[in-house]
Amino acid sequence: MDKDTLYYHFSNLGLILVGLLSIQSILGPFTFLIVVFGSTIGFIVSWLIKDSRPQFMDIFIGMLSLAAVVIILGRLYNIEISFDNLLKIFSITLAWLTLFQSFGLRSGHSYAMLQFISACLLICSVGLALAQETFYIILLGLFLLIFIFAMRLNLVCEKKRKGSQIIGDQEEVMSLSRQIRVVALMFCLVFILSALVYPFVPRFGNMSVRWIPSTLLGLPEKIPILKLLTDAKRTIQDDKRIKKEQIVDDGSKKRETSSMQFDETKIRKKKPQEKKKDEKEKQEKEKKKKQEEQTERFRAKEFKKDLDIFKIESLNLTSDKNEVPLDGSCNLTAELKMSDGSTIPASRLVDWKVKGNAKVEIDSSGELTPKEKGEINVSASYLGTFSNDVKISITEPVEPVKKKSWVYYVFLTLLWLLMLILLYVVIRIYIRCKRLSELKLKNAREFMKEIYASLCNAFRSYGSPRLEHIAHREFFQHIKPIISVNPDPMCLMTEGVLEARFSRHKITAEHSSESLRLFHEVKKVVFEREDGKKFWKKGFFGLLILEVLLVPRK
Amino acid sequence: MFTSKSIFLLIAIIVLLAIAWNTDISTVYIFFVIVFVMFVLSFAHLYFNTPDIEFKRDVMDTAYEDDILNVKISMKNKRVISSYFFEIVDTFTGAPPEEQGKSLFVLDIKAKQTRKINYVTNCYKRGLWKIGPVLLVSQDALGFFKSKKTLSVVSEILVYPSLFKIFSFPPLASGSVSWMGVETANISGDSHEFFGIREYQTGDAMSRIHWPSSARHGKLVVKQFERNAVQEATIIFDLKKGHDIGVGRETTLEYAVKIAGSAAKYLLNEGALVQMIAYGKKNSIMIPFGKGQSHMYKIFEKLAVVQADGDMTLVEALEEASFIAPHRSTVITIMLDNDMRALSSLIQFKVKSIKLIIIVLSTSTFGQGDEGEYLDIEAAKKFDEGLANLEAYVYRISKGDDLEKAFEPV
Repeated sequence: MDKDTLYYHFSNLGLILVGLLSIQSILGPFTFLIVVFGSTIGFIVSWLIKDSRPQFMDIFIGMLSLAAVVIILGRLYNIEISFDNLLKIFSITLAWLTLFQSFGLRSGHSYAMLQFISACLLICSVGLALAQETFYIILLGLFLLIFIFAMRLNLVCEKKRKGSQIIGDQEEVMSLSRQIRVVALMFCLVFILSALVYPFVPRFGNMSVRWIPSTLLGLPEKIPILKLLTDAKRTIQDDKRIKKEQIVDDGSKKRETSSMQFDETKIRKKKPQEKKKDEKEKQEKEKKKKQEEQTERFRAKEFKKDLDIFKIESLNLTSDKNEVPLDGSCNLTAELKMSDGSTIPASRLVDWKVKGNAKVEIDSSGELTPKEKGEINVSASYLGTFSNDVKISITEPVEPVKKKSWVYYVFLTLLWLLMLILLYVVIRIYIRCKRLSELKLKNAREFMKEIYASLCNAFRSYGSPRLEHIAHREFFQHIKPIISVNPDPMCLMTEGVLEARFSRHKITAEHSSESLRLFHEVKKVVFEREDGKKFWKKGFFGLLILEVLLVPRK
Repeated sequence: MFTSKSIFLLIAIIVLLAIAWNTDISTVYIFFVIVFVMFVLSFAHLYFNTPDIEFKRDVMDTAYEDDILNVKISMKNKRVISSYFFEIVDTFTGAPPEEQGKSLFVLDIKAKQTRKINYVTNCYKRGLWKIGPVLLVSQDALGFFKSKKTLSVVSEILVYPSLFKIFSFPPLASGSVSWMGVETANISGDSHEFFGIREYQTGDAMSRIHWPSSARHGKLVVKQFERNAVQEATIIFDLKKGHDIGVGRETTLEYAVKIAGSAAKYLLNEGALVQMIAYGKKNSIMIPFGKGQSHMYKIFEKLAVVQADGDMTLVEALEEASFIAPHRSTVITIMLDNDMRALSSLIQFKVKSIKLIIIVLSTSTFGQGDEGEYLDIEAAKKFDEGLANLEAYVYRISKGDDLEKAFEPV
């Protein structure tokens, strides 16, 4: 057993688990468990079958991955296209891809893809601010540690895969203990240097050359996908603070003055130290105000008991809608609850206050008319009494649901037809491939003829004549310009087929293996051609020889 | 310098910085810094990890096709720090196509350390080949960057064609009296053994008259001795450009070279005198009669490097050979089955009572030549008739034939 390959294989599982752990809140507990256990099993299975992979495993994995991508991306039809939603959908897609791909790990590319997915998951998770910063630092550290370990092992495994002769004492240099020591050292070095560099990173807020980020930020306004980025939550700390402030608001029923309102643009530009000072000042002011309020209430209760009958106990604010489209409106109702239990409609009496990122108008009767998309918190005040907050989302105008036309159904039918054709093609390729695999061992003569015919058929995408209408060597002369870089494999293959067809001596499995090797070399020559605008020809060529490509070479 | 991994890392840095600037999320800044530091550190480590190697190679001067070649390498790290994870690619163009760059991955070499390495490779094709230069590929600890350095350490090796064992061969012509190439010994005596007497004929030397017998019979009688006969063979094959049909090692020229070499070896071992003629452009073969091991290796050396690049046809070569091929010798011709002119030219040898052994290579089994000549049924029939008229001993060889079996006694 090759220990290096084993360690490399399972260190990639570690990377994947870190990635999945970072997006666990998106996946939900059930899906998370399925993906984590599935991926683990996938890694174990792919390790166990690395020397004897079933023939059609790649096809099944590819189909399942494709299906997962299509199904998950299909959700985009129903949900709002926002930065958060896009990242979520992307993360879920990657998680399912991980699950399926883990069963088919073999080459260096498949591992690199999983490493890429894992890094993407981590970045998506950070982008969505799903957890606390501490949690991310731990995850990032873990990811980095495993990543360094995997990359070092990859250097050796890659060379082994390519048939290099390894020079040196493998037991000593590649021992696990030594690897861990080296990785730990590199990890520490990277982390220490990163800590030293971090304060000097030019941020958007503290850049001395403001024109650079300004130029960059000019772009998001023009490009929709970048615009989504600007809508994202700012920092994890800011997000948490906003939530805390809202809780304090609700509890005290105390409104902030306009100067104290949360100003995102200011927070962006303030340095972290200034932000902390501001927070402390805010908290102190709030405490003082609370104390003052409590003192006033005490006086009223103690000394003006007779006036309590007319005292306003609370101001209730309600809205008939929580979501208002831009072309609609909603009615806000304010009611004063008196200490004697009576209620008085006060929509026309109260002062309205709106906080949020959307523009709205509220008339004296309490009718809210939106002017811009976004979210707002509406509150009201009357003679020093503050109402509760009502959260209203201003959405895009609702378009009337169009009745699906016949084009839709035709499209759907065509889609199904396409699916059926694809299914047919896959099954046909599967059957052909199985037959060729059997022929390779049992009837080498026939096998050589079959794969040669497939190859000649594939050359039709490059305008070659049919093999039925032309002699083998003549056919070779026709396609020689197509494979002019290296025509030898095709020439040898042609001669091999002629030998198989006309000779009387025995054609063995060795001949068929050699023929298959030459087939792959011809394919390589064609794929390395520079077709320019006619790149589709390569794809078509590849599709036509797919059945032979799937035949195991060993 | 840059690899796909480092380019990917660079893209990741740019993307992370863009995200960080646009979202102002602290964790993304941390991500960015870590990736950036890794990038810079890897780049810096590449320079520390590039070894300064003194390289030596020890390899045999000659080998035969399909021989396993043992290459001994000695490399010394001249730097004062160790180097890790670097690759040495030793180029040998005489190896099979997929093994021409032998890759050796060195896990570590300590400061001032000398490492000795052995590796084996296959001598795939005859020729005078170069081993080297050596490509030294060093990389950083994580493989993000690579640097390449070429060390011009070159060795030469002559690969003789692979030979097959010939168990029997048609008897050569009985030969002529010839002292050419016969070695003398430092002992007294005469190699001429007495055979008998016969009546004097015009032209007989007077010294051969046996006077006692002449007196007894009453007429002139001369002594007869056994003749000191030496068998001579001339091997001729075609090196004209465009007459080499086939691909890789399965070409008519390769078969011709193998057969010529094996036949020469067999005949020299049998004590015959062998000469070889083949006219190429850069490397022609014009080796006069000779015998012994040194003569055999002279032939092999020539056979190792010949290429089908000549201007002279086989017909012209046969005409040249007709002047130097002695009477009662044997001419072994290796020719293609579509060379009707050469076949006609062989008649001159029959006229001179030179024995002919013809080895015909079946061109249709090797593929199509540059000139695209093919034998139709009529031409093939004509060729066979011509061959039959020569009354020569004929071998027919097709691609893929077991040559040992082809030369087995029937």
